[in-house]
Amino acid sequence: MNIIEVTELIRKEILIEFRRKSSLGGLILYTVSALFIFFLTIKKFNDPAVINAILWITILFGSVNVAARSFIQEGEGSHFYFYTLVSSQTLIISKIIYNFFIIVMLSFIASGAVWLWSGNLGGLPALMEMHEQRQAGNFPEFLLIILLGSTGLSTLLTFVSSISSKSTNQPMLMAILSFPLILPLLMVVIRLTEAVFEGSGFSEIIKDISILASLDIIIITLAIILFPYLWKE
Amino acid sequence: MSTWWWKIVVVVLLCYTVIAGFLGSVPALPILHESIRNLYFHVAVMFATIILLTVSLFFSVRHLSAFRQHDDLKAAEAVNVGVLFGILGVLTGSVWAKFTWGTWWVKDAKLNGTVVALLAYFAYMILRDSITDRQKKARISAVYNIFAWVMMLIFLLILPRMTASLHPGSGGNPGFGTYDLSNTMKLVFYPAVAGWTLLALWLWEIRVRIRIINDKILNEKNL
Repeated sequence: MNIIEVTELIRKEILIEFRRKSSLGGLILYTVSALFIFFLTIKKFNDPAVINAILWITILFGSVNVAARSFIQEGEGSHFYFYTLVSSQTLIISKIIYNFFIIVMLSFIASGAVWLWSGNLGGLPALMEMHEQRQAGNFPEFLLIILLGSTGLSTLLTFVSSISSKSTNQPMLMAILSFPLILPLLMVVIRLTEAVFEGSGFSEIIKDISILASLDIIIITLAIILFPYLWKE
Repeated sequence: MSTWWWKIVVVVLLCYTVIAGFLGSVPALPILHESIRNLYFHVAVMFATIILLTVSLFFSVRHLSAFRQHDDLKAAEAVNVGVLFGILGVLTGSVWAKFTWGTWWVKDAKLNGTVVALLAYFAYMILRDSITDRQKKARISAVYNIFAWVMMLIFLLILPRMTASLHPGSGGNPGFGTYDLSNTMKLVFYPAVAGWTLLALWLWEIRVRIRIINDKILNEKNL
């Protein structure tokens, strides 16, 4: 693994992203329109518990699409080309980092949309009210949850994307392989976000935060150890 | 496993489990009543499931680290048998829940974890089906199997202990085997676990042998 190679690969991803802007735009539109469907179809859109679940389900679906691009859209030829250039671990780390940034961006867009549509009663507006009341506020906690959650999502989904890219029915496998594996992470994240919506401070959620962080570490370790076996042809 | 005597042991153990399990004495307890006898079936079958899935993990790891013939087949068949026993465990557990908790299903970390683990292994089967190249299939499904096993362990053993749970052995509830299992029940429970596990291993062995013979026939036809 080499830091210069990783940054170069991330730069390459960004360049490709700017060449086909429609891809990223499509992802943002996907997230926002999915949330809009939830907003129109669910009556209790201002209930923090409902919003919390919807927010993370939307982020999960968006992230599946983000990660699906990383290996499936590249052809077999470019796989072999990268294989000759860099080590497999460098490649997966660069893809995980790049997807991490995209997922964080999507999470913020989704949170913003939820904040906009959920009205003044619950969810993120409640967060803002608490922010004013408590001075210290718990936006930093929410940010920490998004960052830790995105780390796990990006690592696991990028890894599953590399598995499903080798098979014949890629889009379906991407979903069925990743949903069961992501559930422990998703449930911890949802519990944490609920606690934050109810106004818990950092000291009250530290236990769950450490569970989330250790889940992230387990997922990252597994992905980095196992990826070379997927990569060699 | 070419010896045969252990198969007789399996039959004897399971006959003993069924007869002693339904006729033996059990402590009279509120709520549980006679349903405690399900311990010999539900808990034992779940033990067998976890052991079979761990056998599968072992062969997947060995397939990746030191290539041996048929390791991939063995891992795949261990998952098949393990999932079969897992479904049996969920069904017996659901019946037990109906008579002790009042519903067929509750939203509980341990129950949902079991279902998620089963979903992951169904996904493993579909993954195997959708890769045509044999070498590729073996390697990729081995990688997924290792990942799924670790996540299953997290979901089944670690997360339920951190949340409130109705299920014994999690969320502060005592598990059965620890200190409240009566001695007469221990005499049935341990043979039951051994019996169901050995039955699962027997099924697995037969299925592996069938698959290896199938492979041989296919190879001869191609040549």
